[in-house]
Amino acid sequence: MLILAVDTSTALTSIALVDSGTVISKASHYDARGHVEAIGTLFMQLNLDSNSLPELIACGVGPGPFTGLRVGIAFAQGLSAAWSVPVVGVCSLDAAANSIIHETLDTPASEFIVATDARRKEYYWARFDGRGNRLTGPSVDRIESVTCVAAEFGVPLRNGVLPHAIDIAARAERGDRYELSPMYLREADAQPKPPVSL
Amino acid sequence: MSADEPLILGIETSCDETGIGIVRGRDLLANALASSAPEHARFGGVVPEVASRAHLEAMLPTINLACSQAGISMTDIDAVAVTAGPGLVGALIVGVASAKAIALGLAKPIYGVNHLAAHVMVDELEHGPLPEPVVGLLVSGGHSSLIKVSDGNFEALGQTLDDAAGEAFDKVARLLGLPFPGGPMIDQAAQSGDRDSIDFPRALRTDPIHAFNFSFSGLKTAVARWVKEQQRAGNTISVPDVAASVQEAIADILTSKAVKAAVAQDAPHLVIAGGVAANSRLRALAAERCAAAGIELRVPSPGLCTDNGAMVAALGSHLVRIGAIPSPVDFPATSTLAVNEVYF
Ligand SMILES: [Zn+2]
Repeated sequence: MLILAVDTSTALTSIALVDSGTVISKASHYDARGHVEAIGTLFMQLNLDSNSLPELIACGVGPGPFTGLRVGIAFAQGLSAAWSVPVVGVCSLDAAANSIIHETLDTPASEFIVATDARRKEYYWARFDGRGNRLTGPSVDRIESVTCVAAEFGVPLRNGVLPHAIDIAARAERGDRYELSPMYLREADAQPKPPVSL
Repeated sequence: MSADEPLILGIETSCDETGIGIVRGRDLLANALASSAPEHARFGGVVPEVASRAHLEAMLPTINLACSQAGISMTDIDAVAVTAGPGLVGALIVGVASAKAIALGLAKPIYGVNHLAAHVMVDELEHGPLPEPVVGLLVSGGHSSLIKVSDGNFEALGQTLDDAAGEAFDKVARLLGLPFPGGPMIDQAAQSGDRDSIDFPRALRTDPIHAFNFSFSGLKTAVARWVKEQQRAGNTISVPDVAASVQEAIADILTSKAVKAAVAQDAPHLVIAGGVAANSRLRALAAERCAAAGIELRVPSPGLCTDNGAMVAALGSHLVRIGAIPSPVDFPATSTLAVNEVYF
């Protein structure tokens, strides 16, 4: 299946065109605040053939910092509307787990925890089995709490792994699909920002 | 595409309204809107994260609504225009990312445009080509500025030094126990009040350095002080009288400066836009003073005054018609954007 995948759930904005596991083209850019600037350029770098549109669009729906996260989702749903191609969401931590399994294929599979930066001294995290099936999460908790859980259960904690659109495509191909709706995990009005009027 | 009748999709998400407009040339085909205003009411102001979430959810349904209203399919569009600033960054980003996807997906040009310039340009959809030079008075919850348009260039003549006019209405409404947004509530309460009953201050009325700037923060303080004094004296407060007097102070200062600016700039036309342009006293006073000064007043209908997608499409259409080079695909969304930067 030809899938166009996007992820903006971390500082890595990435996009990829993947055909049943074979990467046709990919592009990425690292900048915690530059998702909306980067995404158009990255899309152009894919050099899409307008005569063969993807059959599916897959997008990382987080969890991740909200503003960046919304760039990928807005972009994916915009493409979906322009092309009339279906779009699905993929948990970005599932994608990160996928990349970890990929890089450690030769080692025996066992449980692990994936964590990404949630700012405010917190992690977004989830626990996976050796085949990448999510056992718990995604959740958002203080860094110390997540570290404690990992130590208590003797499960390795992998933080700093940046999910790539290639892994988003892989999870979508595998059937780990959700609605294209952000996994915020935090209430909107819990944001300690004073109301402003524009 | 037809060069003088381009079909433009306009996307607006700078604050709490998700606006999608479709324009062909200067003809308005659709102006669909989804608002998160009710969700902000209990905060007494727009909460950026709440607005951003709502934009993302409303985007596709509102685009689909606009396309069906206009009787077009998305593939018919010649170009996409989107508000790139000024506004709430998190909110703007949703519109910009959506617009980039649609433009790239359809392989059409994109224009990242200035929200303030779009507020003025929308008048073309109702009253025909914008005469130049023209002075624009932009008044809303987020901006109060005087703009001059001549030879296709936008220039800021002045703006508020503190609160926007709409903000002043909101704050006074809160003092009077009226719900958010304050503007319509004050307007309504003022109908049965006496606008000459209380003499509230008109800031910067005669200051030559700030001839075309505004200041509204002192007004709120003055109203608060007046209310407290009356309460201390044991007097009952007439909400309609306070509302009418505050509205008079705001309308007076806005219209006197706008007319003065038009005269000073030799501009025979004045356009008033923004949400506060819906205020009945502002419209009446502007009409009276423009007539006295021999200036033609142009005020778009309320649905085109408040934030909307049609204004963005109108500016996009103008840019296409003058042969403007489309924006580069990496243009940002920015909270501050001077009006002379009409697009990226
Ligand atoms: Zn506005």
